Amino acid sequence: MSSFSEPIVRLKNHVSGWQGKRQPLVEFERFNQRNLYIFPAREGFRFLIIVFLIWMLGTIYENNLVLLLAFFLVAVFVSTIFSTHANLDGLTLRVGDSDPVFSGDQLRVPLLFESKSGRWRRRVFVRYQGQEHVVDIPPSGKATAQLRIDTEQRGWLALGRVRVYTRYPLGVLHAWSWPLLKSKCLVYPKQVPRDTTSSDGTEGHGFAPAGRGMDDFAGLEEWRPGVPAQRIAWKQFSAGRGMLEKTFEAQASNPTWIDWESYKGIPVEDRLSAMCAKAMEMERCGQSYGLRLPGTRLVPSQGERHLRQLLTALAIYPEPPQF
Amino acid sequence: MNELQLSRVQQIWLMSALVISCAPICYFLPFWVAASSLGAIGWRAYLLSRGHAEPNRWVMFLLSVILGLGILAQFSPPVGIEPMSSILTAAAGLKFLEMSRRRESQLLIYLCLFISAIQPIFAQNFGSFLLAVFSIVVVLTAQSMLQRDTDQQFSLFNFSMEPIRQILRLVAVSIPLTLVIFVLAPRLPAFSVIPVQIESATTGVSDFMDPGSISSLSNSSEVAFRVDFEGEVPPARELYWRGLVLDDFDGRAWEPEGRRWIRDNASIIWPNRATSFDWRSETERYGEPHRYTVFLEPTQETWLFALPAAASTKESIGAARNLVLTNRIPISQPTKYDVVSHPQYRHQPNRLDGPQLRDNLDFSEGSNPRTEALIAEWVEQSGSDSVLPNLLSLFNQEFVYTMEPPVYPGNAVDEFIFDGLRGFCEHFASATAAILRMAGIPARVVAGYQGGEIHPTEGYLIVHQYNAHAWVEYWEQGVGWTRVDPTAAVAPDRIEYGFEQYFLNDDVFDPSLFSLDRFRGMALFEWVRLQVDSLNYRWLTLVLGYDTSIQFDLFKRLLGDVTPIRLVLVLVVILAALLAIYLIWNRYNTHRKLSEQQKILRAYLRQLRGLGISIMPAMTLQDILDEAGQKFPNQRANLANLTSQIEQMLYQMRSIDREHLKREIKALKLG
Repeated sequence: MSSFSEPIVRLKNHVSGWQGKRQPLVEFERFNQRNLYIFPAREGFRFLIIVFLIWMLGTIYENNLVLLLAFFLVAVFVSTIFSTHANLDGLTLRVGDSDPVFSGDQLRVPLLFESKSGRWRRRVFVRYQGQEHVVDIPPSGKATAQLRIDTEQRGWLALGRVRVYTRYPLGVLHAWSWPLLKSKCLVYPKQVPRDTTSSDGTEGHGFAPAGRGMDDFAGLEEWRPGVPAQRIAWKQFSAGRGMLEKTFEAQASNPTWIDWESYKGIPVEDRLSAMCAKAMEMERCGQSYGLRLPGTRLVPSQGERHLRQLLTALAIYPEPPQF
Repeated sequence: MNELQLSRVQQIWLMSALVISCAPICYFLPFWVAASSLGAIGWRAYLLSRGHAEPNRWVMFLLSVILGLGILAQFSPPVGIEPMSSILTAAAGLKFLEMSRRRESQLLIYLCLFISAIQPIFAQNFGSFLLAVFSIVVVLTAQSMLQRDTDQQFSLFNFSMEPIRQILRLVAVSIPLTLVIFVLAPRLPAFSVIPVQIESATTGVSDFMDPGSISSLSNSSEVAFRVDFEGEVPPARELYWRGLVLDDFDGRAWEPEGRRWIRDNASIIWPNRATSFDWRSETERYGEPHRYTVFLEPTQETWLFALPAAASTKESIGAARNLVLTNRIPISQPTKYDVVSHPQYRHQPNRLDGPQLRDNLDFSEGSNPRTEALIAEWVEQSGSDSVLPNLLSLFNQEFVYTMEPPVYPGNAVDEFIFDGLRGFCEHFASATAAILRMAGIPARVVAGYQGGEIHPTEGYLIVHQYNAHAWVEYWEQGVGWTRVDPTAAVAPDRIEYGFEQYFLNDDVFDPSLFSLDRFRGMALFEWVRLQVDSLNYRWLTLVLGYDTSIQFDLFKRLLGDVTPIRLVLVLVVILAALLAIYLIWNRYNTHRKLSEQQKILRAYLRQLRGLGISIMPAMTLQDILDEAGQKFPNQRANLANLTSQIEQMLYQMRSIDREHLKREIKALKLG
């Protein structure tokens, strides 16, 4: 059986390899003669059958006018090849920014079409994993197709090939392209709460100082963007001393580290899921927390930005995050 | 909106496509077919207004059965173009009634497309063809509307021309290729000849001539046929277009001889076909022939018109023994044929066969007793040879040629000769042939057309229905058949100057019966009429008459020699040329757009220079802005705004109103 299917597999590999060379992974795709394909649609074949019947009738009745009309329809079909191709030609497509989600949730990925020509691009379809979207792109304008993707894996979303096609204006020809686009969409690990597994209690006992905490006032520092509002020294600000940040020394008894080593003995993905859940819990409780991953260390802090950084580090593990 | 459901705009476009494609052929179909389609449209409109989607499936089934049975009852057997068109029209109506989804409506579109394209089978003039093209454009627009997102409510206020413009552009681009294919595409011989059965009455000269049958044609200024002579058009008195030979006389009416010696296919000789009885040696032709092409309008009959001693080499045209041409199938479409006619000829000069002689002497004895008595008297007095001159001088002296002859209900020849004395050409022809037979001279009536109008600028001959004519041929030993036209004896000007001239001053001539001809004599309308006719003529010669032989001649002229390789080469060259034109045009369009942006930028820089700001080639727009801002601080905001607009335009960050920008640049005044 394998010997039978082998040539087909090889052919498939060959085609996808060819396709890979022709349309490699790119930041954005600009449709042109190289990456657009065109072929009669099913309606196109029916159209041609009708034209053939008309031609036959013209021949049977020796009627030049009927023949002329049949030839006219053939010419329209040929012109439609150009106009259908032109409906995609010159468009650019890129993946827009999207809010990260946790694995298992639905990710909304915007595909941005941009046109630089002075005419409408109508009925441009995007097909991706069973979903189909259609956009009309105004002259020198933009349009977005919102993909909804059920995530399964953490990390940068690998979008895979998207099928972009159009049959406009007559529906008799099908022009398409398979762009392979880089996405900037991040998927965090799934949140699965779980107790720490290691007995040596690396959940912070004995570590000091654990960075900025919320417990004991330690002094004032110059304000940096991203500091939560409750830590701004409003009194000093109103006194005209500028924006200052109140810093606190986290209690030595509660230094919250989310540590890779605390989840020994379970699979990597489960570990990351547990750490992810823990981080969310800490953020909810308003505590400060840090992260230790092999190759990555985030000092304890808290707030939206910190959480994002931390979750990003978990999402793309083992790649080190770059901030 | 739901992608699968039809929007109201789409339904309206589908309805237009249905109406426009079916309407022109409904005229030729049984009225109830058109009525059922119209009813379907009305019903659908009613359902739409009530918010219902489509009728019950059982109702649909019942309707299809009823319409199917109706068509079966109407046409037996249900083959040919008429039943097919009826079925298609009815089916399109039903489909329109039940369709609710885009996919289903596609079938309706194809039905409409097909119906539009077969319109020219029913009518081939230029106007009908334009109508067919128009309906195809509407159908294609409807199809493109199906591809669109159109959920806006239809109203005349938001009616958009854009889809129509798009299709028109597509159509315009397609025209050159259409012509190329039309000229180059090989024509297959018709693999089976199916006559077009159109129930409209036949037009033109018929094969039954009784008193009054030709004068009824004199009211029609329709064109019977046009003729393109290779050389000069012969003088009017020689233009006797023979169509039918009528040998059988029943005392009142004339018909073609139904007997074996003339009707039998064996006596018609077809080109490139074996014949069992070759009579061609009966005809002697000499002298210079006329060569010409006839463009015959549909007659629904098989006979063709030509000057005497005609011969044609066209495959489908046969020559009958009595020197007329006949087509294999009824002429249901404009037909073109080449003819060579020898005006000098002798036909059957030596002898007539027994049956033929008998038939051509049969005057149905006893049916016109008074005339028989008179002729017997003439023959007794001065022999049979004097009968014809006597008769013609009698006609010339005592008879009146008129478009409105009295009715001769009984013994037509008797009543005409003794009581009425007024008649049209068929009365004179009928009486003359009958009288010659009574005198023992073989004679027959020939029906066809006489004369014609020469187009003043184009030079071709137009033969109208009112040129219909009947005359006589009689037989003499050693001479054969000789033409005699009694109408020429009574009204020589009719033959010499033509029908219109002769009747122009006649009170009886009712000009309102002529469509455009009512304006005869008014120069402008005369001009318009002739222009319309020459357009139709061009249409006939260039498009309708384009056939394999013209195609072959054209190739030969263009290529020197017609070989498949050369043909393919020509095709490739032409396609490449068309493609090149398309690409250049595309490129030109892009350039034009770029240059418009450049123009705006240049206008802006020119303005600033004019205001004394020095602009260096390496400066960016921001540098220029800084420079200008320093010079004119109070205008800085305005300039910044312009700069940002120009940047947006150049880098296409969003579309901007260029006209507005141009105005702002023009209005720029500093200091």
